[in-house]
Amino acid sequence: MSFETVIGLEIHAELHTRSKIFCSCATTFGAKPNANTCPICLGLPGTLPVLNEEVVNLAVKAGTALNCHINKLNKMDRKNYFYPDLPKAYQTSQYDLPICKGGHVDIEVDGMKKRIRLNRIHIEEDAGKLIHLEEQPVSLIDYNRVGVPLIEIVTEPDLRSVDEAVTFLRTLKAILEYGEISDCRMEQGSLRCDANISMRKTGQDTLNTKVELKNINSFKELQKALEKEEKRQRELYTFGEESKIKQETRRWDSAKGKTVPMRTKEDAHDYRYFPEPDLVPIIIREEQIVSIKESLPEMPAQKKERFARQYGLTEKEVDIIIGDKALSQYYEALVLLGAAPKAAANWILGDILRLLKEKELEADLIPVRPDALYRLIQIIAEGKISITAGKEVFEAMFITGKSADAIVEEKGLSQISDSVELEKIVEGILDSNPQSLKDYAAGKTQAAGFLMGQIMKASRGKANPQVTKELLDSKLKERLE
Amino acid sequence: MKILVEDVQYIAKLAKLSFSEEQAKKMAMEFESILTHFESIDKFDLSDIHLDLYSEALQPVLRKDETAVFPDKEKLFQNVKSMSDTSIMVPKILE
Ligand SMILES: [Zn+2]
Repeated sequence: MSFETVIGLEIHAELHTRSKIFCSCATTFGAKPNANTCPICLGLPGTLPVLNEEVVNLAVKAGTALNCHINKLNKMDRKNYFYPDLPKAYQTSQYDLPICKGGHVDIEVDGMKKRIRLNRIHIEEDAGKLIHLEEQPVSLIDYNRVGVPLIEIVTEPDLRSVDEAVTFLRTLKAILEYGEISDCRMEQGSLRCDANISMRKTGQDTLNTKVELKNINSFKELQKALEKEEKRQRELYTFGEESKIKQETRRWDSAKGKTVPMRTKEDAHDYRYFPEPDLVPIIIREEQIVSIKESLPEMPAQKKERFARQYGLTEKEVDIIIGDKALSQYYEALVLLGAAPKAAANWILGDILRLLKEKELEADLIPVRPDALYRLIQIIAEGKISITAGKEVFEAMFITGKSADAIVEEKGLSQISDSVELEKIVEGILDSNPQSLKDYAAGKTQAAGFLMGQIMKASRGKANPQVTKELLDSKLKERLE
Repeated sequence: MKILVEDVQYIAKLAKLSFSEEQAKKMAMEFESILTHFESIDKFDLSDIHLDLYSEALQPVLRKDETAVFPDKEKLFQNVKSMSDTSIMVPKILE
Protein backbone atom coordinates (compact mmCIF):
# COMPACT_ATOMS: atom_id res chain seq x y z
CA MET A 1 0.00 0.00 0.00
CA SER A 2 1.30 3.44 -0.77
CA PHE A 3 0.87 6.61 1.23
CA GLU A 4 1.01 10.24 0.28
CA THR A 5 2.09 13.24 2.28
CA VAL A 6 -0.26 16.17 2.82
CA ILE A 7 1.31 19.48 3.77
CA GLY A 8 -0.12 22.94 4.36
CA LEU A 9 1.92 26.01 5.30
CA GLU A 10 1.27 29.16 7.30
CA ILE A 11 3.72 31.89 6.51
CA HIS A 12 4.26 35.00 8.57
CA ALA A 13 5.91 37.88 6.72
CA GLU A 14 6.74 41.22 8.31
CA LEU A 15 5.50 44.01 6.08
CA HIS A 16 7.96 46.53 4.72
CA THR A 17 6.78 49.64 6.60
CA ARG A 18 8.69 52.35 8.42
CA SER A 19 6.38 52.45 11.43
CA LYS A 20 4.42 49.85 13.39
CA ILE A 21 0.89 48.75 12.59
CA PHE A 22 -0.97 50.89 15.18
CA CYS A 23 1.59 53.44 16.42
CA SER A 24 4.49 55.55 15.14
CA CYS A 25 7.33 53.50 16.65
CA ALA A 26 9.97 52.49 14.13
CA THR A 27 10.14 48.91 12.86
CA THR A 28 13.94 48.86 12.49
CA PHE A 29 15.59 45.59 13.40
CA GLY A 30 18.46 45.49 15.88
CA ALA A 31 17.62 48.55 17.99
CA LYS A 32 18.46 48.59 21.71
CA PRO A 33 15.88 46.49 23.62
CA ASN A 34 12.59 48.38 24.13
CA ALA A 35 13.84 51.51 22.29
CA ASN A 36 11.00 51.22 19.76
CA THR A 37 8.09 51.21 22.18
CA CYS A 38 5.36 53.63 23.27
CA PRO A 39 2.15 53.55 25.33
CA ILE A 40 0.16 52.26 22.33
CA CYS A 41 2.23 49.21 21.42
CA LEU A 42 2.72 48.41 25.10
CA GLY A 43 -1.06 48.45 25.47
CA LEU A 44 -1.18 50.95 28.33
CA PRO A 45 -4.71 51.91 29.42
CA GLY A 46 -6.25 54.94 27.78
CA THR A 47 -4.43 54.64 24.47
CA LEU A 48 -6.02 54.14 21.07
CA PRO A 49 -4.49 52.32 18.09
CA VAL A 50 -4.77 53.84 14.59
CA LEU A 51 -4.09 51.62 11.59
CA ASN A 52 -1.08 52.41 9.38
CA GLU A 53 -2.31 53.00 5.81
CA GLU A 54 0.79 51.36 4.34
CA VAL A 55 -0.14 48.07 6.07
CA VAL A 56 -3.38 48.03 4.11
CA ASN A 57 -1.58 48.94 0.88
CA LEU A 58 1.03 46.21 1.28
CA ALA A 59 -1.51 43.56 2.27
CA VAL A 60 -3.60 44.43 -0.79
CA LYS A 61 -0.41 44.31 -2.86
CA ALA A 62 0.34 40.83 -1.50
CA GLY A 63 -3.23 39.76 -2.24
CA THR A 64 -2.95 41.11 -5.78
CA ALA A 65 0.41 39.43 -6.42
CA LEU A 66 -0.97 36.15 -5.06
CA ASN A 67 -4.23 36.23 -7.06
CA CYS A 68 -6.51 36.63 -4.04
CA HIS A 69 -9.94 38.14 -3.72
CA ILE A 70 -9.66 41.40 -1.76
CA ASN A 71 -12.38 41.86 0.87
CA LYS A 72 -13.22 45.54 0.47
CA LEU A 73 -14.71 45.50 3.92
CA ASN A 74 -12.69 43.66 6.51
CA LYS A 75 -11.98 44.10 10.18
CA MET A 76 -9.58 43.44 13.03
CA ASP A 77 -10.30 41.07 15.92
CA ARG A 78 -8.70 40.34 19.25
CA LYS A 79 -7.08 36.97 19.80
CA ASN A 80 -6.77 36.54 23.54
CA TYR A 81 -3.98 34.68 25.26
CA PHE A 82 -1.55 35.25 28.08
CA TYR A 83 2.11 35.17 27.29
CA PRO A 84 4.79 37.62 28.35
CA ASP A 85 5.72 38.45 24.74
CA LEU A 86 2.28 40.05 24.36
CA PRO A 87 1.91 43.07 26.66
CA LYS A 88 -1.81 43.59 25.94
CA ALA A 89 -2.64 39.91 26.61
CA TYR A 90 -4.29 39.84 23.20
CA GLN A 91 -2.99 40.00 19.66
CA THR A 92 -4.81 42.26 17.25
CA SER A 93 -5.42 40.02 14.25
CA GLN A 94 -8.19 39.16 11.79
CA TYR A 95 -10.62 36.30 12.38
CA ASP A 96 -13.69 35.87 10.19
CA LEU A 97 -13.23 38.77 7.76
CA PRO A 98 -9.61 38.72 6.61
CA ILE A 99 -8.31 41.25 4.08
CA CYS A 100 -7.77 38.59 1.36
CA LYS A 101 -9.52 35.32 0.54
CA GLY A 102 -8.46 32.54 -1.81
CA GLY A 103 -5.62 33.02 -4.27
CA HIS A 104 -2.92 30.75 -5.61
CA VAL A 105 0.79 30.39 -6.29
CA ASP A 106 2.14 28.42 -9.25
CA ILE A 107 5.22 26.36 -8.48
CA GLU A 108 7.45 24.15 -10.57
CA VAL A 109 9.06 20.98 -9.21
CA ASP A 110 11.15 18.73 -11.47
CA GLY A 111 9.81 20.46 -14.57
CA MET A 112 6.20 19.90 -13.47
CA LYS A 113 3.99 22.94 -12.93
CA LYS A 114 1.51 22.86 -10.09
CA ARG A 115 -0.98 25.34 -8.66
CA ILE A 116 -1.08 25.67 -4.87
CA ARG A 117 -4.26 27.26 -3.56
CA LEU A 118 -4.28 29.78 -0.75
CA ASN A 119 -6.98 29.87 1.88
CA ARG A 120 -6.52 33.44 3.07
CA ILE A 121 -4.19 36.28 3.98
CA HIS A 122 -4.81 38.31 7.09
CA ILE A 123 -3.02 41.17 8.79
CA GLU A 124 -1.92 41.11 12.41
CA GLU A 125 0.69 42.45 14.79
CA ASP A 126 3.89 40.67 15.73
CA ALA A 127 4.73 39.76 19.34
CA GLY A 128 7.83 40.66 21.37
CA LYS A 129 10.99 38.68 21.84
CA LEU A 130 11.91 36.65 24.91
CA ILE A 131 15.48 35.89 25.74
CA HIS A 132 15.93 32.90 28.01
CA LEU A 133 19.12 33.19 29.99
CA GLU A 134 20.91 29.87 30.32
CA GLU A 135 22.22 29.90 33.85
CA GLN A 136 19.93 32.42 35.53
CA PRO A 137 16.38 32.04 36.80
CA VAL A 138 15.18 34.97 34.66
CA SER A 139 14.02 35.74 31.14
CA LEU A 140 14.46 39.10 29.41
CA ILE A 141 11.76 40.77 27.34
CA ASP A 142 12.31 43.08 24.40
CA TYR A 143 9.09 44.63 23.08
CA ASN A 144 10.61 46.28 19.99
CA ARG A 145 8.94 43.74 17.71
CA VAL A 146 5.52 44.15 19.33
CA GLY A 147 3.22 45.79 16.80
CA VAL A 148 5.44 45.24 13.78
CA PRO A 149 2.93 44.54 10.99
CA LEU A 150 2.65 41.00 9.67
CA ILE A 151 0.67 39.22 7.05
CA GLU A 152 -0.14 35.59 7.64
CA ILE A 153 -0.54 33.62 4.42
CA VAL A 154 -2.36 30.31 4.84
CA THR A 155 -2.27 27.68 2.10
CA GLU A 156 -4.74 24.90 1.44
CA PRO A 157 -3.29 21.43 2.17
CA ASP A 158 -2.23 21.12 -1.48
CA LEU A 159 1.46 20.29 -1.06
CA ARG A 160 2.28 16.62 -1.60
CA SER A 161 5.97 16.43 -0.80
CA VAL A 162 8.71 18.11 1.18
CA ASP A 163 10.19 19.34 -2.11
CA GLU A 164 6.92 20.99 -3.07
CA ALA A 165 6.73 22.69 0.33
CA VAL A 166 10.27 24.06 0.08
CA THR A 167 9.74 25.18 -3.52
CA PHE A 168 6.47 26.85 -2.55
CA LEU A 169 8.20 28.81 0.20
CA ARG A 170 11.00 29.85 -2.17
CA THR A 171 8.50 30.96 -4.81
CA LEU A 172 6.43 32.88 -2.28
CA LYS A 173 9.52 34.54 -0.81
CA ALA A 174 10.59 35.72 -4.26
CA ILE A 175 7.13 37.19 -4.95
CA LEU A 176 7.11 39.06 -1.62
CA GLU A 177 10.63 40.33 -2.25
CA TYR A 178 10.09 41.45 -5.83
CA GLY A 179 6.78 43.04 -4.85
CA GLU A 180 8.61 44.95 -2.08
CA ILE A 181 5.98 43.66 0.32
CA SER A 182 8.42 42.19 2.85
CA ASP A 183 12.19 42.14 3.05
CA CYS A 184 11.92 38.41 3.88
CA ARG A 185 15.06 38.24 6.00
CA MET A 186 14.61 34.77 7.38
CA GLU A 187 17.70 35.07 9.58
CA GLN A 188 16.12 38.12 11.27
CA GLY A 189 12.77 36.40 11.59
CA SER A 190 10.93 38.67 9.18
CA LEU A 191 9.78 35.58 7.25
CA ARG A 192 8.75 32.58 9.33
CA CYS A 193 6.86 29.45 8.60
CA ASP A 194 4.69 26.88 10.36
CA ALA A 195 3.92 23.60 8.61
CA ASN A 196 1.06 21.14 9.01
CA ILE A 197 1.80 17.61 7.90
CA SER A 198 -0.28 14.44 7.75
CA MET A 199 -0.33 11.21 5.79
CA ARG A 200 -3.00 9.27 3.94
CA LYS A 201 -3.47 6.35 1.59
CA THR A 202 -2.78 7.44 -1.96
CA GLY A 203 -5.97 8.34 -3.76
CA GLN A 204 -7.98 9.16 -0.63
CA ASP A 205 -9.18 12.66 -0.06
CA THR A 206 -9.65 12.59 3.69
CA LEU A 207 -7.44 14.69 5.93
CA ASN A 208 -5.97 12.63 8.74
CA THR A 209 -4.51 13.73 12.05
CA LYS A 210 -1.95 16.41 11.41
CA VAL A 211 1.09 17.54 13.29
CA GLU A 212 1.93 21.22 13.35
CA LEU A 213 5.60 22.19 13.16
CA LYS A 214 6.41 25.64 14.44
CA ASN A 215 9.34 28.02 14.59
CA ILE A 216 10.87 27.30 11.17
CA ASN A 217 13.27 30.03 10.10
CA SER A 218 15.06 28.74 7.02
CA PHE A 219 14.57 26.57 3.96
CA LYS A 220 16.98 24.03 5.38
CA GLU A 221 15.02 23.83 8.63
CA LEU A 222 11.74 23.45 6.74
CA GLN A 223 13.22 20.62 4.72
CA LYS A 224 14.75 18.82 7.69
CA ALA A 225 11.76 19.25 10.00
CA LEU A 226 9.31 18.01 7.37
CA GLU A 227 11.53 15.10 6.32
CA LYS A 228 11.86 13.89 9.89
CA GLU A 229 8.16 14.15 10.61
CA GLU A 230 7.23 12.59 7.27
CA LYS A 231 9.48 9.62 7.98
CA ARG A 232 8.06 9.17 11.49
CA GLN A 233 4.44 9.23 10.29
CA ARG A 234 5.12 7.03 7.26
CA GLU A 235 6.65 4.37 9.48
CA LEU A 236 3.68 4.43 11.86
CA TYR A 237 1.28 4.05 8.92
CA THR A 238 3.33 1.27 7.37
CA PHE A 239 3.11 -0.74 10.59
CA GLY A 240 -0.58 0.04 11.10
CA GLU A 241 0.18 2.14 14.13
CA GLU A 242 -1.19 5.42 12.79
CA SER A 243 -3.36 5.79 15.90
CA LYS A 244 -0.15 6.77 17.67
CA ILE A 245 -0.07 10.01 15.67
CA LYS A 246 -1.50 12.67 17.94
CA GLN A 247 -2.72 16.07 16.89
CA GLU A 248 0.03 18.14 18.40
CA THR A 249 2.31 21.09 17.94
CA ARG A 250 6.01 20.40 17.74
CA ARG A 251 8.66 23.04 17.77
CA TRP A 252 11.68 22.74 15.51
CA ASP A 253 14.78 22.87 17.70
CA SER A 254 17.58 23.80 15.33
CA ALA A 255 20.26 23.13 17.93
CA LYS A 256 19.03 19.58 18.51
CA GLY A 257 18.16 19.08 14.83
CA LYS A 258 14.75 17.62 15.69
CA THR A 259 11.22 18.54 16.57
CA VAL A 260 10.13 18.61 20.20
CA PRO A 261 6.50 18.57 21.40
CA MET A 262 5.11 21.97 22.44
CA ARG A 263 1.53 21.50 23.49
CA THR A 264 -1.27 19.11 22.63
CA LYS A 265 -4.52 20.39 21.16
CA GLU A 266 -6.56 19.16 24.14
CA ASP A 267 -5.34 21.95 26.35
CA ALA A 268 -4.82 24.38 23.49
CA HIS A 269 -5.92 27.91 24.09
CA ASP A 270 -9.44 28.98 23.48
CA TYR A 271 -8.60 32.34 21.96
CA ARG A 272 -12.03 33.91 22.54
CA TYR A 273 -11.80 35.99 19.37
CA PHE A 274 -14.02 39.04 19.29
CA PRO A 275 -14.15 42.17 17.10
CA GLU A 276 -11.57 44.79 18.07
CA PRO A 277 -13.67 47.61 19.53
CA ASP A 278 -10.87 50.19 19.31
CA LEU A 279 -10.62 50.07 15.50
CA VAL A 280 -13.14 50.84 12.79
CA PRO A 281 -13.59 48.38 9.90
CA ILE A 282 -11.01 48.54 7.10
CA ILE A 283 -12.47 49.84 3.89
CA ILE A 284 -10.72 49.37 0.58
CA ARG A 285 -11.91 51.18 -2.52
CA GLU A 286 -11.89 49.74 -6.02
CA GLU A 287 -9.63 52.58 -7.28
CA GLN A 288 -7.10 51.66 -4.60
CA ILE A 289 -7.01 48.03 -5.75
CA VAL A 290 -6.65 49.09 -9.39
CA SER A 291 -3.81 51.50 -8.67
CA ILE A 292 -1.97 48.94 -6.52
CA LYS A 293 -2.38 46.36 -9.29
CA GLU A 294 -0.90 48.79 -11.80
CA SER A 295 2.03 49.67 -9.55
CA LEU A 296 3.00 46.03 -9.03
CA PRO A 297 6.57 45.52 -10.26
CA GLU A 298 7.61 42.67 -12.54
CA MET A 299 6.99 39.39 -10.71
CA PRO A 300 9.57 36.55 -10.67
CA ALA A 301 7.68 34.35 -13.16
CA GLN A 302 7.65 37.13 -15.79
CA LYS A 303 11.22 38.10 -15.00
CA LYS A 304 12.34 34.51 -15.45
CA GLU A 305 10.73 34.30 -18.85
CA ARG A 306 12.25 37.66 -19.89
CA PHE A 307 15.76 36.80 -18.66
CA ALA A 308 15.80 33.57 -20.65
CA ARG A 309 14.59 35.35 -23.78
CA GLN A 310 16.52 38.62 -23.52
CA TYR A 311 19.86 37.37 -22.22
CA GLY A 312 19.98 33.86 -23.63
CA LEU A 313 20.74 32.26 -20.27
CA THR A 314 20.02 28.64 -19.42
CA GLU A 315 17.09 27.78 -17.18
CA LYS A 316 19.40 26.84 -14.35
CA GLU A 317 21.33 30.12 -14.61
CA VAL A 318 18.09 32.11 -14.65
CA ASP A 319 16.72 30.18 -11.65
CA ILE A 320 19.73 31.00 -9.51
CA ILE A 321 19.89 34.67 -10.50
CA ILE A 322 16.13 35.30 -10.22
CA GLY A 323 15.95 33.26 -7.02
CA ASP A 324 17.57 36.18 -5.22
CA LYS A 325 16.22 39.64 -5.90
CA ALA A 326 19.49 41.34 -5.01
CA LEU A 327 21.41 39.08 -7.41
CA SER A 328 19.00 39.77 -10.25
CA GLN A 329 19.30 43.52 -9.69
CA TYR A 330 23.08 43.23 -9.65
CA TYR A 331 22.98 41.21 -12.84
CA GLU A 332 20.78 43.68 -14.70
CA ALA A 333 22.89 46.62 -13.53
CA LEU A 334 25.97 44.88 -14.89
CA VAL A 335 24.37 44.13 -18.25
CA LEU A 336 22.99 47.65 -18.48
CA LEU A 337 26.51 49.04 -18.05
CA GLY A 338 27.55 47.08 -21.14
CA ALA A 339 28.76 43.70 -19.87
CA ALA A 340 28.03 40.74 -22.13
CA PRO A 341 25.01 38.84 -20.68
CA LYS A 342 26.82 35.51 -20.58
CA ALA A 343 30.01 36.95 -19.03
CA ALA A 344 27.97 38.83 -16.43
CA ALA A 345 26.18 35.61 -15.50
CA ASN A 346 29.50 33.78 -15.23
CA TRP A 347 30.86 36.36 -12.80
CA ILE A 348 27.76 36.12 -10.61
CA LEU A 349 27.38 32.36 -10.67
CA GLY A 350 31.11 31.84 -10.21
CA ASP A 351 33.22 34.17 -8.14
CA ILE A 352 30.47 36.31 -6.62
CA LEU A 353 28.43 33.41 -5.24
CA ARG A 354 31.57 31.64 -4.08
CA LEU A 355 32.83 34.69 -2.19
CA LEU A 356 29.39 35.48 -0.71
CA LYS A 357 29.27 31.96 0.63
CA GLU A 358 32.82 32.11 1.98
CA LYS A 359 32.26 35.43 3.70
CA GLU A 360 28.70 34.46 4.77
CA LEU A 361 27.21 37.54 3.16
CA GLU A 362 23.77 38.10 1.69
CA ALA A 363 23.59 39.14 -1.97
CA ASP A 364 22.42 42.65 -1.15
CA LEU A 365 25.78 43.18 0.55
CA ILE A 366 28.09 42.43 -2.38
CA PRO A 367 30.98 44.78 -1.54
CA VAL A 368 31.92 45.35 -5.20
CA ARG A 369 29.48 47.65 -6.95
CA PRO A 370 28.34 46.66 -10.45
CA ASP A 371 30.23 49.59 -12.03
CA ALA A 372 33.43 48.55 -10.25
CA LEU A 373 33.08 45.00 -11.57
CA TYR A 374 32.31 46.34 -15.02
CA ARG A 375 35.58 48.31 -14.96
CA LEU A 376 37.40 45.06 -14.16
CA ILE A 377 35.63 43.29 -17.04
CA GLN A 378 36.82 46.10 -19.34
CA ILE A 379 40.41 45.84 -18.12
CA ILE A 380 40.37 42.12 -18.92
CA ALA A 381 38.75 42.70 -22.33
CA GLU A 382 41.43 45.25 -23.19
CA GLY A 383 44.08 42.62 -22.50
CA LYS A 384 45.65 44.58 -19.67
CA ILE A 385 45.37 41.59 -17.38
CA SER A 386 44.64 37.92 -17.93
CA ILE A 387 41.35 36.28 -16.91
CA THR A 388 43.16 34.36 -14.19
CA ALA A 389 44.65 37.59 -12.84
CA GLY A 390 41.17 39.12 -13.14
CA LYS A 391 39.74 36.58 -10.72
CA GLU A 392 42.53 37.38 -8.27
CA VAL A 393 41.83 41.10 -8.65
CA PHE A 394 38.11 40.53 -8.06
CA GLU A 395 38.75 38.67 -4.85
CA ALA A 396 40.96 41.52 -3.64
CA MET A 397 38.29 44.05 -4.63
CA PHE A 398 35.72 42.00 -2.72
CA ILE A 399 37.83 41.98 0.42
CA THR A 400 39.40 45.45 0.36
CA GLY A 401 36.76 47.44 -1.50
CA LYS A 402 39.50 49.00 -3.67
CA SER A 403 39.08 49.63 -7.38
CA ALA A 404 40.26 47.21 -10.05
CA ASP A 405 42.83 49.71 -11.36
CA ALA A 406 44.28 50.26 -7.90
CA ILE A 407 44.67 46.52 -7.29
CA VAL A 408 46.19 45.82 -10.73
CA GLU A 409 48.70 48.60 -10.03
CA GLU A 410 49.43 47.44 -6.48
CA LYS A 411 49.92 43.81 -7.39
CA GLY A 412 51.83 44.66 -10.56
CA LEU A 413 49.50 42.41 -12.50
CA SER A 414 49.16 44.40 -15.69
CA GLN A 415 50.22 42.40 -18.70
CA ILE A 416 53.01 43.67 -20.87
CA SER A 417 51.39 44.44 -24.18
CA ASP A 418 53.78 47.24 -24.98
CA SER A 419 55.76 45.91 -27.91
CA VAL A 420 59.01 47.78 -27.21
CA GLU A 421 59.32 46.25 -23.78
CA LEU A 422 58.20 42.84 -25.02
CA GLU A 423 60.60 42.96 -27.96
CA LYS A 424 63.51 43.44 -25.54
CA ILE A 425 62.49 40.34 -23.60
CA VAL A 426 61.90 38.24 -26.72
CA GLU A 427 65.24 39.24 -28.28
CA GLY A 428 67.02 38.46 -24.99
CA ILE A 429 65.53 34.96 -24.79
CA LEU A 430 66.34 34.21 -28.44
CA ASP A 431 69.94 35.38 -27.91
CA SER A 432 70.46 33.19 -24.89
CA ASN A 433 68.87 30.04 -26.37
CA PRO A 434 70.72 29.41 -29.67
CA GLN A 435 70.08 25.65 -29.42
CA SER A 436 66.32 26.11 -29.39
CA LEU A 437 66.63 28.34 -32.40
CA LYS A 438 68.53 25.59 -34.23
CA ASP A 439 65.93 22.96 -33.18
CA TYR A 440 63.18 25.20 -34.46
CA ALA A 441 64.99 25.66 -37.77
CA ALA A 442 65.27 21.84 -37.97
CA GLY A 443 61.48 21.63 -37.80
CA LYS A 444 61.07 20.90 -34.08
CA THR A 445 58.09 23.21 -33.52
CA GLN A 446 57.90 22.41 -29.82
CA ALA A 447 61.01 24.56 -29.42
CA ALA A 448 58.75 27.56 -29.92
CA GLY A 449 56.71 26.41 -26.94
CA PHE A 450 59.86 26.23 -24.82
CA LEU A 451 60.88 29.73 -25.89
CA MET A 452 57.39 31.02 -25.09
CA GLY A 453 57.69 29.54 -21.60
CA GLN A 454 61.06 31.24 -21.11
CA ILE A 455 59.59 34.58 -22.15
CA MET A 456 56.64 34.24 -19.77
CA LYS A 457 59.08 33.35 -17.01
CA ALA A 458 61.32 36.32 -17.75
CA SER A 459 58.29 38.63 -17.70
CA ARG A 460 57.11 37.00 -14.47
CA GLY A 461 53.87 36.01 -16.16
CA LYS A 462 53.00 39.50 -17.21
CA ALA A 463 53.59 39.17 -20.92
CA ASN A 464 50.31 39.28 -22.81
CA PRO A 465 50.23 35.75 -24.29
CA GLN A 466 48.52 36.75 -27.51
CA VAL A 467 50.86 39.65 -28.31
CA THR A 468 53.92 37.63 -27.24
CA LYS A 469 52.98 34.71 -29.45
CA GLU A 470 52.66 36.94 -32.50
CA LEU A 471 55.90 38.73 -31.71
CA LEU A 472 57.81 35.48 -31.16
CA ASP A 473 56.51 34.04 -34.45
CA SER A 474 57.64 37.05 -36.43
CA LYS A 475 61.05 37.21 -34.68
CA LEU A 476 61.66 33.50 -35.37
CA LYS A 477 60.77 34.05 -38.98
CA GLU A 478 63.19 37.04 -39.15
CA ARG A 479 66.07 35.08 -37.63
CA LEU A 480 65.65 32.10 -39.95
CA GLU A 481 65.73 34.18 -43.11
CA MET B 1 -28.99 31.25 25.16
CA LYS B 2 -28.52 29.35 28.38
CA ILE B 3 -25.34 30.23 30.25
CA LEU B 4 -24.24 27.88 32.99
CA VAL B 5 -22.12 28.69 35.99
CA GLU B 6 -19.57 26.29 34.50
CA ASP B 7 -19.37 28.49 31.37
CA VAL B 8 -18.60 31.49 33.55
CA GLN B 9 -15.97 29.57 35.49
CA TYR B 10 -14.39 28.34 32.22
CA ILE B 11 -14.12 31.87 30.82
CA ALA B 12 -12.87 33.09 34.18
CA LYS B 13 -10.16 30.45 34.11
CA LEU B 14 -9.08 31.53 30.60
CA ALA B 15 -8.99 35.13 31.80
CA LYS B 16 -7.04 34.08 34.89
CA LEU B 17 -9.77 35.39 37.19
CA SER B 18 -11.52 33.62 40.03
CA PHE B 19 -15.05 34.14 41.29
CA SER B 20 -17.09 32.79 44.15
CA GLU B 21 -20.05 30.57 43.33
CA GLU B 22 -22.34 33.46 44.17
CA GLN B 23 -20.56 35.93 41.89
CA ALA B 24 -20.49 33.36 39.08
CA LYS B 25 -24.22 32.75 39.40
CA LYS B 26 -24.95 36.47 39.14
CA MET B 27 -22.64 36.75 36.16
CA ALA B 28 -24.24 33.78 34.40
CA MET B 29 -27.55 35.61 34.57
CA GLU B 30 -26.03 38.81 33.25
CA PHE B 31 -24.23 37.02 30.43
CA GLU B 32 -27.44 35.35 29.48
CA SER B 33 -29.42 38.57 29.26
CA ILE B 34 -26.72 40.25 27.16
CA LEU B 35 -26.48 37.31 24.79
CA THR B 36 -30.26 37.08 24.50
CA HIS B 37 -30.23 40.66 23.35
CA PHE B 38 -27.69 39.77 20.63
CA GLU B 39 -29.82 36.80 19.65
CA SER B 40 -32.72 39.11 18.95
CA ILE B 41 -30.46 41.12 16.63
CA ASP B 42 -29.40 37.88 14.96
CA LYS B 43 -33.03 37.18 14.10
CA PHE B 44 -33.08 39.95 11.49
CA ASP B 45 -32.97 38.53 8.00
CA LEU B 46 -29.94 40.21 6.43
CA SER B 47 -29.43 37.68 3.63
CA ASP B 48 -30.05 40.27 0.88
CA ILE B 49 -27.82 42.92 2.43
CA HIS B 50 -24.25 43.06 1.17
CA LEU B 51 -21.87 44.89 3.43
CA ASP B 52 -19.58 45.73 0.52
CA LEU B 53 -22.29 47.98 -0.92
CA TYR B 54 -22.35 50.05 2.23
CA SER B 55 -18.63 50.57 2.39
CA GLU B 56 -19.01 53.68 0.21
CA ALA B 57 -20.69 55.39 3.13
CA LEU B 58 -18.00 54.35 5.59
CA GLN B 59 -14.81 56.32 6.01
CA PRO B 60 -11.52 54.57 6.62
CA VAL B 61 -9.52 55.82 9.58
CA LEU B 62 -5.83 55.51 8.88
CA ARG B 63 -2.54 57.16 9.71
CA LYS B 64 0.44 57.90 7.48
CA ASP B 65 3.40 55.56 7.71
CA GLU B 66 5.61 57.98 9.63
CA THR B 67 7.83 57.27 12.60
CA ALA B 68 8.14 59.10 15.90
CA VAL B 69 10.09 58.30 19.03
CA PHE B 70 8.24 58.22 22.34
CA PRO B 71 10.62 60.31 24.44
CA ASP B 72 9.89 59.50 28.06
CA LYS B 73 11.07 55.90 28.32
CA GLU B 74 11.51 56.22 32.06
CA LYS B 75 7.86 57.03 32.54
CA LEU B 76 6.89 54.35 30.03
CA PHE B 77 8.51 51.66 32.15
CA GLN B 78 7.83 53.13 35.58
CA ASN B 79 5.57 50.21 36.53
CA VAL B 80 8.02 47.53 35.49
CA LYS B 81 9.28 45.65 38.53
CA SER B 82 12.78 44.92 37.38
CA MET B 83 14.91 45.76 34.39
CA SER B 84 18.26 44.55 33.19
CA ASP B 85 19.71 47.48 31.26
CA THR B 86 16.79 48.29 28.93
CA SER B 87 15.31 44.78 28.92
CA ILE B 88 12.40 43.82 31.14
CA MET B 89 13.37 41.07 33.55
CA VAL B 90 10.82 38.45 34.57
CA PRO B 91 10.98 35.05 36.28
CA LYS B 92 12.19 32.41 33.84
CA ILE B 93 9.54 31.43 31.30
CA LEU B 94 9.46 27.88 30.10
CA GLU B 95 7.41 27.00 27.05
ZN1 LIG C 1 4.66 52.08 19.72
